[in-house]
Amino acid sequence: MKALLNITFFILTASTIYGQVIVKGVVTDEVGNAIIGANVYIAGTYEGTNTGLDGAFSFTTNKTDKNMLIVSFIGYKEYREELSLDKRSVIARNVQLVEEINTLEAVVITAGSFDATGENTREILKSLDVATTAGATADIAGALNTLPGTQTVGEQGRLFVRGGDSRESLTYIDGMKALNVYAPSAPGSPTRTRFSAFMFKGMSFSTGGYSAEYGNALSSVLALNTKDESVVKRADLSLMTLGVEGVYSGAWDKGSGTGKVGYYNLTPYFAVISQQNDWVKAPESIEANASLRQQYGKTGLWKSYMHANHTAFQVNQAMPGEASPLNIHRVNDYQYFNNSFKNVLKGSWSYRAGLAYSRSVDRLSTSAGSVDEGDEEWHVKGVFYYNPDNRTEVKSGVEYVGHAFRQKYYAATGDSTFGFVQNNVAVFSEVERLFSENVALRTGVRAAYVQPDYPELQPRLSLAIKQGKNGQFSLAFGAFSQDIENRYFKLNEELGREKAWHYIVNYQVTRQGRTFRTEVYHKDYRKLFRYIPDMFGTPVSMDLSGRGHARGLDVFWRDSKTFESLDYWFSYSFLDTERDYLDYPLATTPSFASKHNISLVLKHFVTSIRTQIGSTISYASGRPYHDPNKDGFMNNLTPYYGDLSVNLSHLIRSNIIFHMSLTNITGRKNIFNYRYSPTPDDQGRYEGQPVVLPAPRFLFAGLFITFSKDNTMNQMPDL
Amino acid sequence: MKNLILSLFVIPGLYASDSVNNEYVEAMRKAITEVYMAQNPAALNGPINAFERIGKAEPEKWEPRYYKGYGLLMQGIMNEQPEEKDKYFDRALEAVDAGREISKDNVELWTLKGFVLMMKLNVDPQARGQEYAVLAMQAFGKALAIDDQNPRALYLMASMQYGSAQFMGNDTGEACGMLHKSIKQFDQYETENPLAPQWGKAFAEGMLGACQ
Repeated sequence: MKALLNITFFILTASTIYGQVIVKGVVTDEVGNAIIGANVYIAGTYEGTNTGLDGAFSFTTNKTDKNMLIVSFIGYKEYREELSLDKRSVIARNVQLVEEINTLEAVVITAGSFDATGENTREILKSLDVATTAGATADIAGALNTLPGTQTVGEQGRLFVRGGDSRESLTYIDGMKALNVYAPSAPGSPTRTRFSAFMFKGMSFSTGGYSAEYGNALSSVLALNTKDESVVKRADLSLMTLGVEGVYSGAWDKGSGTGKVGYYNLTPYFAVISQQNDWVKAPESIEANASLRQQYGKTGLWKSYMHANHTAFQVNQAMPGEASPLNIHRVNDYQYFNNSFKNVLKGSWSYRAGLAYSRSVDRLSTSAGSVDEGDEEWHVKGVFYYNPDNRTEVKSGVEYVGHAFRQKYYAATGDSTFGFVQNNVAVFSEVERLFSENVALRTGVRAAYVQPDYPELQPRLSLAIKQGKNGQFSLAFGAFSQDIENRYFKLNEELGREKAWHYIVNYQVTRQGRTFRTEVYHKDYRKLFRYIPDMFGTPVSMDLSGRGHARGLDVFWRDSKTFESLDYWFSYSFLDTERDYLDYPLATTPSFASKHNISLVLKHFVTSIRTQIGSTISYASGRPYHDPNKDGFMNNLTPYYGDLSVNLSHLIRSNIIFHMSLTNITGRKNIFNYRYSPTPDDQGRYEGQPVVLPAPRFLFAGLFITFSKDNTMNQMPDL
Repeated sequence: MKNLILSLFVIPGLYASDSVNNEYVEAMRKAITEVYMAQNPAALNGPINAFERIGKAEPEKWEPRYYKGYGLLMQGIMNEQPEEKDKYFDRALEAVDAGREISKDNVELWTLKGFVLMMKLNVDPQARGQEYAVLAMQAFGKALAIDDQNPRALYLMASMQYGSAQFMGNDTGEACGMLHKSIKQFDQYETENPLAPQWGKAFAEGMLGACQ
C-alpha cells in the first residue's frame, strides 16, 4: 500500500514538474494581421495545433527539456525556436511569420517575350496554339506570325520581327543554336520551319530585349524546348496530302525516346491543284528525326535531338524580259544534332551544358550556271546557375560558335571558290532578382570576342513592376550584335559586327482568361553593312556605316472566357522603320516591312461533334518596292495583303483525327513585290512581273492515327 | 527455450510498438474523421496540419502523407478560383509522391495520384486534356495492376472511361460494369490497416444515375 502511494505521489509530482506545459500565443504576419490556420507544433511529436480566426493558439505538451517549436504556414518562412519546457507551466510566444516570395504569383519579366511552356495558367500562349492556328498549317513561324511584332512576308514565310529581316531572328533548341532553320523552297513559295512543332513542348518567342545568354541576333530569339518525357509506348501514322509520317515513342526506366521518319512529295498535290510555276520536279523530301531523354539520378537530365533531311526540286521560273524561263534545280541536305545535359551540382548550384551541330549543303544548278554552298556550325555552351534563395538567380556561362562557309561557282569561264571559317567566343553573366512579389530585375552583360573589335560588351537590362493585382509594367534595354551576311562576310572578314540597341516598354494585364498587352519599342540600328556596287552589282567598297531604326507599337488581346468554347486573339502591330544599308542610296523603308499588320485568330471547339474549327484573318498594309520605270528609290507601294484561312480538326475515333486546313479561301491575289528585268526593252521600259504565290490557296488534309495500348490516345495535342 | 526468448524479446517489443502504434492510430483517426467531416476548405486546414505534424514525427508512415494529399485535393476541389486550384493540387501531388517514396507499390497512393491528375486536367481540359488524361489513366492502371479489387481505383477508372466513351459517342457499358463492381467492392473490400481510406462510396453511388 505504501509502495502504491509512493508511486501515485511520484506520478503526480512528475506531471507537475515535467508534464503538461501549456504553449500559447498569437501568430501574425509582418504587419500584424492574424494568420489563420498556421501549424504550430513541437518538432518530432504530434503535439500541436492550428491557429484560430484571431491567429491565437494554445496547446499542452508532455515533452520535457529542450524542444523545437515550429510554426509553419504556406507562403511563409518556417519559424523555429528552441523552448525549454522544464519547470514551467505556461510558455507564451507571439510569433511573426515572414512572407516568402511566391514565385507563382510574383511579377515576371514580359517585355519583348511571349512564353508558352504549357503549364502556367497565366501564360498568354499555349504550346498547342502552333498546331491549332488556322493559316499556319502547323508551322511554328506561321503561328508566330499571328503575334504582334511580326510582319507578314507571305512569299517567304519566315519570321520578320520589328523591322528586322529574317536573318535577324535566331532559333535555339534546348538552349543550343540551330542554323538555317527554314526548309528550302522555290523562289516565291513560302518556306516552312524545318522542325516540326510536334517535337517541342514549350517555347519562348522574344521580339527584343532578350537575355544575355543569346547573342548574334539583332532582332529576335525563338527558344524551343523539346518534350520532357513521353510516358507510354505509342506509334503514330500520319497520311497527308503532302506525304506520310511514322512516329514511334518508347519509354523505359527514367528515359524515353521518339523516332520519326517522313516522306513528302508534292507531285500528287500539284497534279490536282494547278500551280503558276512550271514544275519539272515537285519538291520531294525524306526526313528522319530522333529524340532521346534520360534521367540521371534524381536531378540529372540528358536530352538529345537529331534531324536529317534531304530535299530536291526543279522548276522553270519565268523571268521578266526573258523569252525562256530559268531552269532552277536545287538539292539540299541538312543535318542537325543537339545534346544537352543539366544537373544540380550541390545545394543551390546547378549547371547546363550543350553541344550542337548544324550542317546545310546546297546545290543550285540553273541554266545560267551552278553553285555549291556549304554552311556548318558548331555550338558549345556551358552555363552555371546559382540560386541562393527562391528570389535570386545568378547565371553565368561561356559559349563557342565555330562557323564554316564555303561556296563554289561553276561557270563556263572557270570555277571560283569563296569561303571562311569563323570562331566566336562569348561569355555572359546575368542576375535575376525578385525584390518583392512586385518588382523583378534582370541585369546582365555579354562579352563577345569577335574580330576585330573585341571584347564587345553588350549590357542587357529588364525590369518588371506589378501594377495592381493582375497588371504589370516591364522595361527592357539592351545592346545586340550580329555577323554580317555570309555572302558579304566572305568578301571581307575584318569589318566586325552589325549592332542594334533595343528600348522596350510593355504593359500587360491578365485576368481570368483574358489578356491585354501592349508594347512600344525603339530599335536603333548602328553599324549596318553598306557597300558600293560595281556595274555587275558586286560590292567593291564595303564598310559598316549603315544606319537605321525601327519603332512601333504592338497590341495583343486574347480572350478565352467571354464566349463559351471560343478562344480568340487579336494582334496589331504598327511599324515605322527606315534603314540606309546595303547599296541603298538613301534611308528608306525596306521592302520586307509593312506599316500595319493585323491578325485575328479564332478557335472554336464543338464538343458535341468533337471538332475544333479555327479561322485566321490577316491583314498587312502595302510594302515598298523599287520600280525602275519611275524616278527615285523604293518609289512604290504594293497593294495590301489580305488572307482568310480556316482549319478543322475532327476526332473520328479516340485514336484517329482528321485535320484539314485551307489558306486564303477568298482566293485574293496578294502581290508581295515586283521583279523587273535587269535591262530595259526597246521602248526603254523595264518589264515587270508581280511576285505572287504559285497558287492562291493552299489546301492541307491529313489523317492522323495513333496506336497505343488501349488506343485511347491521339495526336490532338500535336496538330 | 525458444519460446522464452520469443517472449522475452519479441513480446515486449510488440507491446511497445503497439502502444506507440495506438498513439499513432488514435491521432490519425481523429484527423481522418475531421477530413471526412469537413464541409468547407477552412475546416480542412486543421486536419491537414495534423497530418503534416504526424508525418514529420513518423518518417516511415505513408498514411499521413496520403491523407494530407487527400485533404489538399479536397481543398482544391472546393476552391472556386481556377487559378488557385493548381496550387492545392500541386501540393497534393507532392504529398502523394512523398508517400510513394515510403510505400512504393501502394494501390491507394496510385489511386489518389490519378485522382489529383484528373482534377488537374479539369482546370484546363482543352490544353491539358490529352496529357493529363494519359497520366491519370496510367496511375489508375497502375493501381489496378497492384490490386484490381480496390473500390476507389475501380470507381475512378470507371468514371474516366465513362467520360471518354461518352465524348467519343461509344458504348459506356464497360465503364458502367466497372462502376457496379466498385460499388460491390465498397461493401466487401477488406483490409487489415485500421487507417485504410474509406471514402468514395458516395461518389460512386452519385455516378450510378448516369449508368441507369
